[in-house]
Amino acid sequence: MFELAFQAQREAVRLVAAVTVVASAEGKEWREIAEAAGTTEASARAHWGGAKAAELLAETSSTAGRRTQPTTRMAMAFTDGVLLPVVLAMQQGAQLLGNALKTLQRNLGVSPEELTQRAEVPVPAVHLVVDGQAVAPWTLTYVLIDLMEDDPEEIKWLWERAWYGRCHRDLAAGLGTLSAAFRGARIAAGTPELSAVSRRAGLAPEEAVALFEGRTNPDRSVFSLLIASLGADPEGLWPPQVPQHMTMREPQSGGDGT
Amino acid sequence: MRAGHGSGLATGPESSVPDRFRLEYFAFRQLHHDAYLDYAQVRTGSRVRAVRCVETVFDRLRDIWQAALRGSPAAQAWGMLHEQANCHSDCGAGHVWPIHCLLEGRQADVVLLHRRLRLSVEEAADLMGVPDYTVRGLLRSADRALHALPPCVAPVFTDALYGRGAHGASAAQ
Repeated sequence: MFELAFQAQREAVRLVAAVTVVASAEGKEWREIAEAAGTTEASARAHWGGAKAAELLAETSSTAGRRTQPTTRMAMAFTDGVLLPVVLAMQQGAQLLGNALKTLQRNLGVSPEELTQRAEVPVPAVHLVVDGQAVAPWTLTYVLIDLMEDDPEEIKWLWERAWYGRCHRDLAAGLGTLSAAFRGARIAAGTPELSAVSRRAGLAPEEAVALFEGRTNPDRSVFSLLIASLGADPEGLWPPQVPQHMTMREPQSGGDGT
Repeated sequence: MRAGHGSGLATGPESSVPDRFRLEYFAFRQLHHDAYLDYAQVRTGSRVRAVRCVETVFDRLRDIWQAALRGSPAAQAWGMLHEQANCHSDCGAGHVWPIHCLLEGRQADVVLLHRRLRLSVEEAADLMGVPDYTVRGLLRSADRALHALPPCVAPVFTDALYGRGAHGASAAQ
Protein backbone atom coordinates (compact mmCIF):
# COMPACT_ATOMS: atom_id res chain seq x y z
CA MET A 1 0.00 0.00 0.00
CA PHE A 2 2.83 2.38 0.96
CA GLU A 3 4.68 1.42 -2.18
CA LEU A 4 1.63 2.27 -4.28
CA ALA A 5 1.20 5.62 -2.56
CA PHE A 6 4.86 6.57 -3.03
CA GLN A 7 4.69 5.48 -6.64
CA ALA A 8 1.63 7.67 -7.21
CA GLN A 9 3.46 10.57 -5.58
CA ARG A 10 6.48 10.09 -7.87
CA GLU A 11 4.25 9.93 -10.94
CA ALA A 12 2.46 13.12 -9.85
CA VAL A 13 5.80 14.94 -9.61
CA ARG A 14 6.71 13.71 -13.09
CA LEU A 15 3.34 14.84 -14.43
CA VAL A 16 3.78 18.35 -13.02
CA ALA A 17 7.26 18.48 -14.59
CA ALA A 18 5.85 17.43 -17.96
CA VAL A 19 3.08 20.02 -17.81
CA THR A 20 5.62 22.69 -16.91
CA VAL A 21 7.83 21.74 -19.87
CA VAL A 22 4.85 22.05 -22.18
CA ALA A 23 3.74 25.36 -20.65
CA SER A 24 7.25 26.71 -20.99
CA ALA A 25 7.47 25.53 -24.61
CA GLU A 26 4.18 27.26 -25.29
CA GLY A 27 5.70 30.54 -24.18
CA LYS A 28 4.31 30.78 -20.64
CA GLU A 29 6.51 32.77 -18.31
CA TRP A 30 7.89 31.41 -15.05
CA ARG A 31 5.89 34.02 -13.21
CA GLU A 32 2.64 32.57 -14.62
CA ILE A 33 3.70 28.99 -13.91
CA ALA A 34 4.63 29.89 -10.35
CA GLU A 35 1.32 31.67 -9.86
CA ALA A 36 -0.62 28.65 -11.09
CA ALA A 37 1.37 26.38 -8.78
CA GLY A 38 0.92 28.70 -5.82
CA THR A 39 4.63 29.21 -5.27
CA THR A 40 7.36 31.71 -6.00
CA GLU A 41 9.08 32.08 -9.34
CA ALA A 42 12.44 31.07 -7.87
CA SER A 43 10.93 27.96 -6.32
CA ALA A 44 9.19 27.00 -9.55
CA ARG A 45 12.44 27.37 -11.49
CA ALA A 46 14.31 25.31 -8.93
CA HIS A 47 11.73 22.52 -8.99
CA TRP A 48 10.89 22.36 -12.67
CA GLY A 49 13.59 24.32 -14.50
CA GLY A 50 15.08 22.81 -17.69
CA ALA A 51 17.67 20.40 -16.29
CA LYS A 52 15.58 19.46 -13.28
CA ALA A 53 12.49 18.75 -15.41
CA ALA A 54 14.53 16.69 -17.86
CA GLU A 55 15.96 14.73 -14.94
CA LEU A 56 12.50 14.12 -13.51
CA LEU A 57 11.05 13.07 -16.84
CA ALA A 58 14.00 10.83 -17.61
CA GLU A 59 13.89 9.22 -14.19
CA THR A 60 13.49 5.49 -14.47
CA SER A 61 10.75 4.13 -12.26
CA SER A 62 9.44 0.63 -11.87
CA THR A 63 6.47 1.42 -14.08
CA ALA A 64 7.69 3.86 -16.69
CA GLY A 65 9.13 3.05 -20.04
CA ARG A 66 9.46 -0.09 -22.08
CA ARG A 67 12.96 -0.99 -20.83
CA THR A 68 11.83 -1.34 -17.26
CA GLN A 69 8.36 -2.61 -18.00
CA PRO A 70 8.52 -6.37 -18.30
CA THR A 71 4.79 -7.03 -18.37
CA THR A 72 3.14 -5.16 -21.20
CA ARG A 73 3.36 -1.87 -23.02
CA MET A 74 0.62 0.70 -23.01
CA ALA A 75 1.16 1.70 -26.62
CA MET A 76 1.52 -0.15 -29.90
CA ALA A 77 3.55 1.12 -32.82
CA PHE A 78 0.45 1.74 -34.93
CA THR A 79 -2.08 3.54 -32.83
CA ASP A 80 -3.48 6.98 -32.12
CA GLY A 81 -3.61 9.30 -29.17
CA VAL A 82 -0.81 7.75 -27.15
CA LEU A 83 2.68 9.04 -26.48
CA LEU A 84 5.45 6.97 -24.99
CA PRO A 85 7.14 8.94 -22.19
CA VAL A 86 10.90 8.98 -22.46
CA VAL A 87 12.96 7.21 -19.82
CA LEU A 88 16.70 7.16 -19.46
CA ALA A 89 17.21 4.10 -21.64
CA MET A 90 15.57 5.72 -24.64
CA GLN A 91 16.51 9.33 -24.05
CA GLN A 92 19.21 9.51 -26.68
CA GLY A 93 17.06 7.94 -29.38
CA ALA A 94 14.12 10.21 -28.58
CA GLN A 95 16.37 13.25 -28.65
CA LEU A 96 17.76 12.28 -32.04
CA LEU A 97 14.27 11.79 -33.43
CA GLY A 98 13.12 15.07 -31.93
CA ASN A 99 16.09 16.89 -33.45
CA ALA A 100 15.28 15.46 -36.86
CA LEU A 101 11.67 16.62 -36.61
CA LYS A 102 12.87 20.03 -35.43
CA THR A 103 15.16 20.33 -38.47
CA LEU A 104 12.32 19.46 -40.85
CA GLN A 105 10.08 21.95 -39.08
CA ARG A 106 12.70 24.67 -39.35
CA ASN A 107 13.46 23.87 -43.00
CA LEU A 108 9.79 24.20 -43.88
CA GLY A 109 9.36 27.30 -41.74
CA VAL A 110 6.27 26.01 -40.01
CA SER A 111 5.47 26.59 -36.33
CA PRO A 112 4.51 23.75 -33.96
CA GLU A 113 1.09 25.35 -33.66
CA GLU A 114 0.52 25.21 -37.42
CA LEU A 115 1.77 21.66 -37.44
CA THR A 116 -0.57 20.55 -34.68
CA GLN A 117 -3.45 22.22 -36.44
CA ARG A 118 -2.73 20.40 -39.67
CA ALA A 119 -2.09 17.07 -37.95
CA GLU A 120 -5.17 17.52 -35.77
CA VAL A 121 -3.31 16.62 -32.59
CA PRO A 122 -2.94 18.57 -29.32
CA VAL A 123 -0.17 21.18 -29.18
CA PRO A 124 1.60 19.54 -26.20
CA ALA A 125 1.94 16.29 -28.13
CA VAL A 126 4.02 17.92 -30.85
CA HIS A 127 6.05 19.90 -28.32
CA LEU A 128 6.88 16.80 -26.31
CA VAL A 129 7.86 14.82 -29.40
CA VAL A 130 9.96 17.58 -30.97
CA ASP A 131 11.66 18.23 -27.63
CA GLY A 132 12.56 14.56 -27.33
CA GLN A 133 10.50 14.17 -24.13
CA ALA A 134 8.16 11.61 -25.64
CA VAL A 135 8.00 9.32 -28.65
CA ALA A 136 4.85 9.17 -30.75
CA PRO A 137 3.63 5.96 -32.39
CA TRP A 138 4.63 5.57 -36.04
CA THR A 139 1.20 6.76 -37.24
CA LEU A 140 1.58 10.26 -35.78
CA THR A 141 5.30 10.43 -36.55
CA TYR A 142 4.56 9.53 -40.16
CA VAL A 143 1.83 12.16 -40.43
CA LEU A 144 4.13 14.85 -39.00
CA ILE A 145 6.95 13.96 -41.39
CA ASP A 146 4.54 13.92 -44.30
CA LEU A 147 3.21 17.35 -43.33
CA MET A 148 6.77 18.59 -43.24
CA GLU A 149 7.24 17.29 -46.78
CA ASP A 150 9.96 14.78 -46.17
CA ASP A 151 10.29 11.07 -46.81
CA PRO A 152 9.19 9.11 -43.72
CA GLU A 153 11.60 6.31 -44.64
CA GLU A 154 14.53 8.56 -43.78
CA ILE A 155 13.25 9.15 -40.29
CA LYS A 156 11.88 5.64 -39.69
CA TRP A 157 15.32 4.40 -38.66
CA LEU A 158 15.50 7.04 -35.94
CA TRP A 159 11.94 6.28 -34.86
CA GLU A 160 12.70 2.55 -34.51
CA ARG A 161 15.74 3.41 -32.42
CA ALA A 162 13.61 5.60 -30.15
CA TRP A 163 10.59 3.29 -29.99
CA TYR A 164 12.13 -0.19 -29.86
CA GLY A 165 15.62 0.78 -28.70
CA ARG A 166 17.19 -0.67 -31.83
CA CYS A 167 16.91 -0.69 -35.60
CA HIS A 168 15.99 -3.93 -37.25
CA ARG A 169 17.50 -4.30 -40.69
CA ASP A 170 18.83 -7.26 -42.63
CA LEU A 171 22.30 -6.22 -43.72
CA ALA A 172 22.29 -9.01 -46.27
CA ALA A 173 19.29 -7.44 -48.00
CA GLY A 174 21.42 -5.49 -50.43
CA LEU A 175 23.03 -2.16 -51.17
CA GLY A 176 21.81 0.93 -49.44
CA THR A 177 20.41 -0.81 -46.38
CA LEU A 178 22.18 1.63 -44.09
CA SER A 179 21.83 4.78 -46.15
CA ALA A 180 18.53 5.75 -44.50
CA ALA A 181 20.35 5.78 -41.14
CA PHE A 182 22.90 8.23 -42.54
CA ARG A 183 20.26 10.47 -44.04
CA GLY A 184 18.18 10.42 -40.86
CA ALA A 185 21.19 11.19 -38.64
CA ARG A 186 22.16 14.03 -40.98
CA ILE A 187 18.70 15.56 -40.69
CA ALA A 188 18.91 15.20 -36.90
CA ALA A 189 22.24 17.02 -37.01
CA GLY A 190 20.59 19.96 -38.79
CA THR A 191 21.45 18.91 -42.37
CA PRO A 192 25.14 19.89 -42.46
CA GLU A 193 26.91 20.07 -45.83
CA LEU A 194 28.11 16.68 -47.03
CA SER A 195 31.61 18.06 -47.55
CA ALA A 196 31.77 19.00 -43.87
CA VAL A 197 30.42 15.61 -42.84
CA SER A 198 32.94 13.70 -44.94
CA ARG A 199 35.79 15.88 -43.64
CA ARG A 200 34.82 15.25 -40.03
CA ALA A 201 34.53 11.51 -40.67
CA GLY A 202 37.85 11.43 -42.53
CA LEU A 203 36.23 10.09 -45.70
CA ALA A 204 36.67 11.16 -49.30
CA PRO A 205 33.73 13.35 -50.36
CA GLU A 206 32.74 10.97 -53.16
CA GLU A 207 32.78 8.06 -50.72
CA ALA A 208 30.44 9.91 -48.38
CA VAL A 209 28.09 10.76 -51.25
CA ALA A 210 27.99 7.10 -52.32
CA LEU A 211 27.15 6.07 -48.77
CA PHE A 212 24.38 8.64 -48.42
CA GLU A 213 22.90 7.67 -51.76
CA GLY A 214 22.98 3.98 -50.87
CA ARG A 215 25.30 3.03 -53.71
CA THR A 216 27.58 1.22 -51.32
CA ASN A 217 27.30 -0.42 -47.90
CA PRO A 218 29.90 0.55 -45.31
CA ASP A 219 31.61 -1.81 -42.91
CA ARG A 220 31.01 -1.21 -39.26
CA SER A 221 34.01 1.06 -38.69
CA VAL A 222 33.06 3.40 -41.55
CA PHE A 223 29.45 3.36 -40.35
CA SER A 224 30.60 4.35 -36.86
CA LEU A 225 32.85 7.14 -38.15
CA LEU A 226 30.11 8.64 -40.25
CA ILE A 227 27.38 8.41 -37.64
CA ALA A 228 29.69 9.77 -34.92
CA SER A 229 30.62 12.69 -37.18
CA LEU A 230 26.92 13.53 -37.23
CA GLY A 231 26.84 13.63 -33.44
CA ALA A 232 24.90 10.38 -32.95
CA ASP A 233 25.74 7.14 -31.17
CA PRO A 234 26.74 4.49 -33.75
CA GLU A 235 26.01 1.63 -31.34
CA GLY A 236 22.32 2.41 -31.16
CA LEU A 237 21.89 2.69 -34.89
CA TRP A 238 23.81 -0.40 -36.01
CA PRO A 239 21.40 -3.29 -36.65
CA PRO A 240 21.66 -6.11 -34.12
CA GLN A 241 24.09 -8.89 -34.91
CA VAL A 242 22.35 -11.87 -36.43
CA PRO A 243 23.99 -15.23 -35.69
CA GLN A 244 25.51 -16.92 -38.73
CA HIS A 245 23.10 -19.85 -38.69
CA MET A 246 20.16 -17.43 -38.89
CA THR A 247 21.40 -15.50 -41.88
CA MET A 248 21.11 -18.26 -44.48
CA ARG A 249 18.90 -16.82 -47.14
CA GLU A 250 16.61 -18.94 -49.22
CA PRO A 251 17.37 -19.10 -52.93
CA GLN A 252 15.54 -16.23 -54.55
CA SER A 253 14.03 -18.41 -57.22
CA GLY A 254 12.41 -16.78 -60.15
CA GLY A 255 9.66 -19.36 -60.44
CA ASP A 256 6.85 -19.48 -57.95
CA GLY A 257 6.17 -23.15 -58.25
CA THR A 258 2.45 -22.70 -58.54
CA MET B 1 14.20 14.40 -50.37
CA ARG B 2 10.61 13.31 -50.49
CA ALA B 3 10.34 9.97 -52.23
CA GLY B 4 6.73 8.97 -51.87
CA HIS B 5 5.03 6.87 -49.27
CA GLY B 6 6.63 3.79 -47.92
CA SER B 7 9.94 1.95 -48.18
CA GLY B 8 10.25 2.12 -51.91
CA LEU B 9 6.67 1.04 -52.30
CA ALA B 10 5.15 2.55 -55.33
CA THR B 11 1.94 4.22 -54.38
CA GLY B 12 0.71 3.46 -57.85
CA PRO B 13 -2.45 4.85 -59.29
CA GLU B 14 -4.85 6.72 -57.05
CA SER B 15 -7.22 3.74 -57.05
CA SER B 16 -4.63 1.68 -55.18
CA VAL B 17 -5.05 3.70 -52.00
CA PRO B 18 -8.06 3.87 -49.70
CA ASP B 19 -10.50 6.75 -50.10
CA ARG B 20 -10.05 7.94 -46.53
CA PHE B 21 -7.28 7.78 -43.93
CA ARG B 22 -4.69 7.45 -46.67
CA LEU B 23 -1.75 8.64 -44.59
CA GLU B 24 -2.58 6.12 -41.90
CA TYR B 25 -2.68 3.40 -44.55
CA PHE B 26 0.68 4.45 -45.96
CA ALA B 27 2.15 4.61 -42.46
CA PHE B 28 0.86 1.14 -41.68
CA ARG B 29 2.17 -0.22 -44.95
CA GLN B 30 5.60 1.27 -44.48
CA LEU B 31 5.78 0.08 -40.90
CA HIS B 32 5.05 -3.56 -41.68
CA HIS B 33 5.85 -4.20 -45.35
CA ASP B 34 9.43 -5.44 -45.02
CA ALA B 35 8.72 -7.68 -42.05
CA TYR B 36 5.69 -9.16 -43.83
CA LEU B 37 7.88 -9.89 -46.83
CA ASP B 38 10.56 -11.59 -44.72
CA TYR B 39 7.94 -13.68 -42.95
CA ALA B 40 6.25 -14.69 -46.19
CA GLN B 41 9.58 -15.56 -47.77
CA VAL B 42 10.49 -17.95 -45.00
CA ARG B 43 7.00 -19.47 -45.11
CA THR B 44 6.78 -19.91 -48.86
CA GLY B 45 10.46 -20.42 -49.67
CA SER B 46 10.21 -18.04 -52.60
CA ARG B 47 10.60 -14.31 -52.94
CA VAL B 48 8.11 -14.23 -55.79
CA ARG B 49 5.42 -16.02 -53.81
CA ALA B 50 6.19 -13.84 -50.81
CA VAL B 51 5.69 -10.65 -52.80
CA ARG B 52 2.42 -12.04 -54.13
CA CYS B 53 1.19 -12.88 -50.62
CA VAL B 54 2.07 -9.47 -49.24
CA GLU B 55 0.56 -7.55 -52.13
CA THR B 56 -2.66 -9.54 -51.78
CA VAL B 57 -2.79 -8.70 -48.08
CA PHE B 58 -2.32 -4.97 -48.65
CA ASP B 59 -4.87 -4.97 -51.49
CA ARG B 60 -7.46 -6.61 -49.25
CA LEU B 61 -6.58 -4.37 -46.36
CA ARG B 62 -7.01 -1.29 -48.53
CA ASP B 63 -10.54 -2.38 -49.40
CA ILE B 64 -11.55 -2.66 -45.75
CA TRP B 65 -9.23 0.02 -44.36
CA GLN B 66 -11.86 2.18 -42.70
CA ALA B 67 -13.45 -0.80 -41.01
CA ALA B 68 -10.02 -2.14 -40.04
CA LEU B 69 -9.21 1.13 -38.26
CA ARG B 70 -12.14 0.58 -35.93
CA GLY B 71 -10.37 -2.49 -34.55
CA SER B 72 -6.75 -3.55 -34.79
CA PRO B 73 -5.46 -3.23 -38.36
CA ALA B 74 -2.29 -5.10 -37.39
CA ALA B 75 -4.22 -8.12 -36.09
CA GLN B 76 -6.48 -8.21 -39.13
CA ALA B 77 -3.63 -7.86 -41.58
CA TRP B 78 -1.63 -10.52 -39.77
CA GLY B 79 -4.55 -12.93 -40.03
CA MET B 80 -4.69 -12.30 -43.76
CA LEU B 81 -0.95 -12.75 -44.16
CA HIS B 82 -0.96 -15.99 -42.20
CA GLU B 83 -3.78 -17.31 -44.35
CA GLN B 84 -2.05 -16.24 -47.57
CA ALA B 85 1.20 -17.86 -46.50
CA ASN B 86 -0.69 -21.07 -45.69
CA CYS B 87 -2.08 -21.12 -49.22
CA HIS B 88 1.37 -20.71 -50.76
CA SER B 89 3.36 -23.14 -48.65
CA ASP B 90 3.28 -26.77 -47.67
CA CYS B 91 5.16 -29.16 -45.43
CA GLY B 92 6.75 -31.06 -48.28
CA ALA B 93 10.32 -32.34 -48.18
CA GLY B 94 12.97 -29.71 -48.66
CA HIS B 95 11.14 -26.92 -46.91
CA VAL B 96 13.81 -24.64 -45.49
CA TRP B 97 12.19 -23.79 -42.16
CA PRO B 98 9.15 -26.01 -41.55
CA ILE B 99 8.18 -24.72 -38.11
CA HIS B 100 4.55 -24.47 -39.20
CA CYS B 101 4.53 -28.22 -39.83
CA LEU B 102 5.42 -28.82 -36.18
CA LEU B 103 3.54 -26.20 -34.18
CA GLU B 104 0.13 -24.57 -34.03
CA GLY B 105 -0.21 -21.49 -36.28
CA ARG B 106 0.35 -18.60 -33.87
CA GLN B 107 2.99 -20.47 -31.90
CA ALA B 108 4.88 -21.11 -35.11
CA ASP B 109 4.49 -17.48 -36.15
CA VAL B 110 6.07 -16.09 -32.98
CA VAL B 111 8.94 -18.59 -33.16
CA LEU B 112 9.58 -17.61 -36.77
CA LEU B 113 9.47 -13.90 -36.00
CA HIS B 114 11.49 -14.01 -32.79
CA ARG B 115 13.99 -16.79 -33.44
CA ARG B 116 14.40 -16.72 -37.18
CA LEU B 117 13.83 -13.08 -38.12
CA ARG B 118 15.27 -11.90 -34.79
CA LEU B 119 12.48 -9.47 -34.01
CA SER B 120 12.18 -8.47 -30.37
CA VAL B 121 9.08 -9.50 -28.44
CA GLU B 122 7.79 -5.93 -28.76
CA GLU B 123 8.35 -5.87 -32.51
CA ALA B 124 6.69 -9.26 -32.98
CA ALA B 125 3.73 -8.15 -30.86
CA ASP B 126 3.28 -4.96 -32.88
CA LEU B 127 3.49 -6.92 -36.10
CA MET B 128 0.86 -9.47 -35.04
CA GLY B 129 -1.34 -6.90 -33.34
CA VAL B 130 -1.29 -8.69 -29.98
CA PRO B 131 0.00 -7.69 -26.54
CA ASP B 132 3.58 -8.46 -25.52
CA TYR B 133 2.48 -10.99 -22.94
CA THR B 134 0.68 -13.02 -25.61
CA VAL B 135 3.91 -13.31 -27.59
CA ARG B 136 5.84 -14.31 -24.48
CA GLY B 137 3.22 -16.93 -23.64
CA LEU B 138 3.25 -18.34 -27.15
CA LEU B 139 7.05 -18.53 -27.11
CA ARG B 140 7.00 -20.44 -23.83
CA SER B 141 4.40 -22.91 -25.05
CA ALA B 142 6.27 -23.32 -28.34
CA ASP B 143 9.49 -24.09 -26.46
CA ARG B 144 7.70 -26.73 -24.40
CA ALA B 145 6.22 -28.30 -27.53
CA LEU B 146 9.57 -28.31 -29.33
CA HIS B 147 11.43 -29.82 -26.39
CA ALA B 148 8.85 -32.59 -26.27
CA LEU B 149 9.62 -33.61 -29.85
CA PRO B 150 11.41 -36.93 -30.24
CA PRO B 151 15.07 -36.53 -31.28
CA CYS B 152 14.39 -38.15 -34.63
CA VAL B 153 12.07 -35.32 -35.69
CA ALA B 154 13.67 -32.61 -37.77
CA PRO B 155 16.99 -32.50 -35.88
CA VAL B 156 18.54 -30.10 -38.38
CA PHE B 157 15.66 -27.73 -37.91
CA THR B 158 15.78 -27.73 -34.12
CA ASP B 159 19.57 -27.33 -34.16
CA ALA B 160 19.25 -24.24 -36.30
CA LEU B 161 16.49 -22.91 -34.08
CA TYR B 162 18.49 -23.17 -30.88
CA GLY B 163 21.89 -22.46 -32.41
CA ARG B 164 23.64 -25.65 -31.29
CA GLY B 165 25.98 -28.01 -33.03
CA ALA B 166 24.24 -31.28 -32.38
CA HIS B 167 20.70 -32.14 -31.46
CA GLY B 168 20.35 -32.80 -27.79
CA ALA B 169 22.99 -30.34 -26.75
CA SER B 170 22.10 -27.75 -24.18
CA ALA B 171 18.98 -25.94 -25.22
CA ALA B 172 19.21 -22.20 -25.44
CA GLN B 173 16.56 -20.22 -23.66
